[in-house]
Amino acid sequence: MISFALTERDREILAEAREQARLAVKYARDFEFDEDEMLPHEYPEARGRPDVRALMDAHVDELSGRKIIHALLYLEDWYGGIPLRESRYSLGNTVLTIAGTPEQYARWANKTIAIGLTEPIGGSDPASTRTTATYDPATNEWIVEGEKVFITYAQNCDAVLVLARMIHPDRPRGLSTFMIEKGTPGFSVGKQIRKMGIRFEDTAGLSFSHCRIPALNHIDGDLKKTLQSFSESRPVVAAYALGVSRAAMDFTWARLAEIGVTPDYDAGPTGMTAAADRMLELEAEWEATWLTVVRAKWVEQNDGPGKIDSSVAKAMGGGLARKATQTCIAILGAYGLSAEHLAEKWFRDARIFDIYEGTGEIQRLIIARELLGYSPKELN
Amino acid sequence: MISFALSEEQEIARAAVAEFARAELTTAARAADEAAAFSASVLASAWGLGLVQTIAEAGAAPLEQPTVMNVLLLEEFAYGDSAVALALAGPLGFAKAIAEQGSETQKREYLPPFAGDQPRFAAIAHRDAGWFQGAGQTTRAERVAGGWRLSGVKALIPQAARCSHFLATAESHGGRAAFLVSAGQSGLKIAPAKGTLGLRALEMADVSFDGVFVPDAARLGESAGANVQRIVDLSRVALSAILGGLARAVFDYALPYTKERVVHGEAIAKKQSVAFKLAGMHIAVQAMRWMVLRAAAELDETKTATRNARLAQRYGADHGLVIADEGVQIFGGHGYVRDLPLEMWYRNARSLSVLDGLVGA
Repeated sequence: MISFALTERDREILAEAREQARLAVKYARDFEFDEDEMLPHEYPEARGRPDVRALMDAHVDELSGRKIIHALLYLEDWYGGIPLRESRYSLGNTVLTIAGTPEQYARWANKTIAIGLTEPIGGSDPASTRTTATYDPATNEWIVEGEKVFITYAQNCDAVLVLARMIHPDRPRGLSTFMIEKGTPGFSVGKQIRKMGIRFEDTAGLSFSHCRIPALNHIDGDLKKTLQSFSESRPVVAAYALGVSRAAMDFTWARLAEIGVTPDYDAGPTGMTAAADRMLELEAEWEATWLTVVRAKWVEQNDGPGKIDSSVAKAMGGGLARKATQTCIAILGAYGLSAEHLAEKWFRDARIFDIYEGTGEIQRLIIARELLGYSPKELN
Repeated sequence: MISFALSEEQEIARAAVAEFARAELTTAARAADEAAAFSASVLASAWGLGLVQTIAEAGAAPLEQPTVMNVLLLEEFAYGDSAVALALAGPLGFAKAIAEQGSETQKREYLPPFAGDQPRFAAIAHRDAGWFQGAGQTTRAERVAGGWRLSGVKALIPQAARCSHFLATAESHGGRAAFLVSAGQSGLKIAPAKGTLGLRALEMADVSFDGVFVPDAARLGESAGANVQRIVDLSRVALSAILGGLARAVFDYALPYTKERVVHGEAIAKKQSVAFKLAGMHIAVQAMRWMVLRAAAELDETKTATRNARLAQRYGADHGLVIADEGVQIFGGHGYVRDLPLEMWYRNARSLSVLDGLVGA
């Protein structure tokens, strides 16, 4: 039966996460001036409070679905502006789960694995990857050469799963992934990148200079498998966008309430103030985005990651985050610019969601190719 | 428990209406728009699918999620012709309000005619006339001996001249009430239709209540009264479902054309500016549907779903119009001529996105 109601357990876990987000707000600006600082595993307020992700795993049977709640917990983290407890969710782990052998999975499952995809010459076109992995038959090793940029978890991860072009005497020159652990000679991490927002996120470049790794570290996932991990993570990024947008909208509604402007959902299409009308539009966009996120995760739960639903959610999330944070400042006016409040921070943070893990344009390309039955060669 | 899965019963009913809409309504829609009138046979066969009768015969009782079922079917009717969907949603809203909130006497008196084989029309007269909704225009019900006296003007009622009844909402001593008013009552006037931008076959007209006397027995729910908000919420969900069906029709019509139409040596679908329009249309069509279904499911669970119904209406209004607009643009000059449906869909989308009340689900 079609239903959009969360279960009692869903609501309980999400309510706890919201409470923790409220406790985290006071740390939201912690990394504004020192981006080299790393996020703590947990803030003091987390102590004595349940780990919401552990709660989720302990009650899987009572949830609308683990994948749905997993995504919605990120909404709550971003509502607070900074996670009260670090979740260490990383895309490399997803690829390992999808493409790794049991032996490889056992070896790295407990590590935080970043994904190394984007290169200085461009992020939206992984087929143009220049990093190489050359097979050395003499030692049964691979030698990785190349450079990656904008890598999340670059500093804090245990290993990075790198997309590289294979050079092997017996295999075609396809793209594949290679696990490179921290401490491997020739592997270095660059400085933290100085960003407009999301400054608590650990972002840096990586370089690989004659970096030798054993054959076991070749996770034989092709580009398709690697990109499949994005189908799982993209709705999660849209959930980030929901969290930041909600925070900005709640703040703006609270200021509007002080001058007597409150939401009136009974009022018809005409007859409300301009501010309330703009907020109503944001509320509609927010709910629509929430539904596409939940939809993508529901499809993934039932049929595996769905490319098109996942891109729909991501495109919605990216668009919402831009529009909501822009509109809130437009309504708040100069008041919204001051660092006394978080509106300006939400505005800066939110802008990334339509860029990373595939820009809004890339999502639209993916959607359009699916709809039209075109290959990337036919539509690009 | 979140689920996007329709029941087998919902899928079957939806498929039946979808087939009918494609076969019968899509071609008839243009002729009805040109004539500013429906063909009687088209309306009779649409009526024959039983959308209104199901509710009028047995109320909502036999269905697990009656509102969800109704919005699914309205969306399919609207895929063929949104004006036909509105023509059915008027009596549907009227019958459902009585089935859900009428007294036993009212159910016996008003519902049987709507359970018959011949089309019967009625409407939810909710939105007051005038361009801005505000003080001084609201329809009022004043208490008088043995009943109520209704004064006000309701805007753009579909099929007004054919309606046997109106369910009129009114402010009444600080609250809201709904009244069952028959068309022949003295003081009730239908302003002659001057034509409208879209939905022309509906011959929409303002209905005025000039001190119309309504007996106590004709107040919905009689002395217990009725939850008017539920009627308003249901109307918004119905309108949004209809706009959703229209939007999907535009998208399905535009997509194959973009692959056939060659400009500068390649199909326009291979150009990002066009492909991105299609992606945007798909995104909004999906989101519109989830918004409608969520509000409908909520109305099957609880009395009101005011926020979600209003937001479904808002989202649909914003994006349904954009989709219809882009439909015209994709077809260029062909979008502007009356041989193809694009310009009609554009006019209909603009109309649907500003209406309120009128119908139900």
